[in-house]
Amino acid sequence: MIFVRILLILLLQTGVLFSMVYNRAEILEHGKTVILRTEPVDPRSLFRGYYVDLNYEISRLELADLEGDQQFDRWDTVFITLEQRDTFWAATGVYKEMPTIIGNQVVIKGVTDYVMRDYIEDCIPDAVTSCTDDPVITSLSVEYGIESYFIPEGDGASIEEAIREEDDRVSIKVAVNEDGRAVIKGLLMDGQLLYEEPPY
Amino acid sequence: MRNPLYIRQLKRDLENWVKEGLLSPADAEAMLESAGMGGPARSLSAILALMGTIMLGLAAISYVAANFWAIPRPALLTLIISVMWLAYVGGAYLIHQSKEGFGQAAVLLGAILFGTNIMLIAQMYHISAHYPNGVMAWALGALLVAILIPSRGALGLAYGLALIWTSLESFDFGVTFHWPFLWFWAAAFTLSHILNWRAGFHIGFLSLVYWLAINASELADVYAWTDFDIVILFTLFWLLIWVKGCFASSLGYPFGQALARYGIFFFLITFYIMHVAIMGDTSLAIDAKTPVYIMTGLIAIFVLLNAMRKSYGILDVIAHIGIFGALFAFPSAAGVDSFVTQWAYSAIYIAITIWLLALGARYNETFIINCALIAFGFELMYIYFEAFDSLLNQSMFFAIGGVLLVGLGFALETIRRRFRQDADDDDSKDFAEGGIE
Repeated sequence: MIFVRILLILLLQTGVLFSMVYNRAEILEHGKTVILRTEPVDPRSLFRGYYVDLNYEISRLELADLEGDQQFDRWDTVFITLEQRDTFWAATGVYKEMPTIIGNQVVIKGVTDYVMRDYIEDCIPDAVTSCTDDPVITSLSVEYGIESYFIPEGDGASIEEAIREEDDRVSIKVAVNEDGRAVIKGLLMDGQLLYEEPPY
Repeated sequence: MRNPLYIRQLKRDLENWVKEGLLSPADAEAMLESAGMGGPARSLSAILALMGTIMLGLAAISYVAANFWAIPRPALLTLIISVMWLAYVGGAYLIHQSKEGFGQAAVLLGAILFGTNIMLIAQMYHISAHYPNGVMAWALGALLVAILIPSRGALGLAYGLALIWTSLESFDFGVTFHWPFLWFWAAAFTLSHILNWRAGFHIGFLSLVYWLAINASELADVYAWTDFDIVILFTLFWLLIWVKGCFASSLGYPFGQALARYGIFFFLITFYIMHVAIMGDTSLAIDAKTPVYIMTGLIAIFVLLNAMRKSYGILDVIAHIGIFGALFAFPSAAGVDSFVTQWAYSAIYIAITIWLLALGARYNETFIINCALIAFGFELMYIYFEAFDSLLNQSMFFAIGGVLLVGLGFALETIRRRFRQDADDDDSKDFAEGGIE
């Protein structure tokens, strides 16, 4: 009887582990590839163990520059449309529901980490103007689940230095499936692929 | 393995009974051996096996984590999943071979490896999205092991992981009321009872207390409850736990006594906070009234049931009615005259501690006596440092209280001696009429 129970545990737990692998491998194999520009992050939180904290250009979205919705709350699921600008892909719109894809766009799914509010330009509270007294949402901080990159022991310092040194030295190749889920596919240094992730 | 405190107490009792001629030294020796037989040595080997396997498991995981780049991904996946399989199958084999301790250790290792495998796969694919889900999956996996084997170690692991999971959801992701934790907790707590695991009961109960504590402020925000509402609700909640524990104990529920102890301990804290810290806004919010009425009704039912089952004497019922009255009168009393309320509620709190001392003495419950004494000490400190605006008032309170306590002690001692005398007289009479059978 104990062996039957153990078998049940093994099947269920192994199933969970394989589903984790399969979900990511599927995206790596069949997802559309985009290259995202990284930005320097606070050096104090750059390393936790053997991984780099990544911050992308699309991690902070200025709503004035984007199409889509304007009202968001913290921890909302959001869909961001990306379009290719030279090598890198940039955000063009932010939506609360999956938008219709136009042309070569890719939609990436994220969760709002912070919602920044501010008074709109030329709007002075309590003044007799056409604007309201309430601050409006000006920008969003969004997480995509690709903010950590695990690296071989000892390689961290060079990547950390590269990220801090100047913009565009480190970029991340990301695979995105049709639901907007993203998985890191590779790490590029000075445009050269330094690490590539096999599906299996 | 027997509780060492129990063994120590038994040893003392047996020595006394041997001295009194109730037992022969040989019988006492045999009883002591029977009580402690085989326990420590066997338990120590199981514990060592457990610690050793955990260290081996962690060593393997650290090795894999450090070298995951050097090993091809399919080989790495095969390796980490095979090690987990090995631990589980080895555990099943050992349990089957009646090597329960080693088998349980191996199964626990399997449950630990399941979680570390989740983390390793997350590391392989650079997954960082909503990391509490990984902990939740691990906790569910451990609970599954605890249910199917069954394994106390895995249940302990599941409790610990569930606490991390709810903390991450609440603190890192701002989840208001992490209800899924309660479902998980209910399953784990039920299993603690099925396994008759005392430590599991305590871990489970304290987990719930932790969850309530971290959600108290959210509770207040959502329902617009004041601090007073929260304190009143928690005071009633712990009173409910207390009376329910007494009732459950009278039904033979193995953890009833522990439940009642928790109820008493936290009730004394919340009642103390209520009359010491909560002055000012003491009107009960509309939304708080429903749970107050429900808990009041349940407490009344349990007090009645306890009285019917003779768990409570008339004094206990009166004391509960008095506590009820004090709780319900507090909002209006504090609003009218806080000075009189301070006097009255300090006196009530001291009365409760004295009643608890009597209760503890009656049931020979050191825990209740200690709680009552500590609460009494805190109340005296409060009175001394805070409660009264003049030393004369303080002095009067202590003088009256001191006289009453000494008088009460004298009266109780007189009653006790009279009962003892009556009992001795009855014994002598029985002896004179033909001896004790």
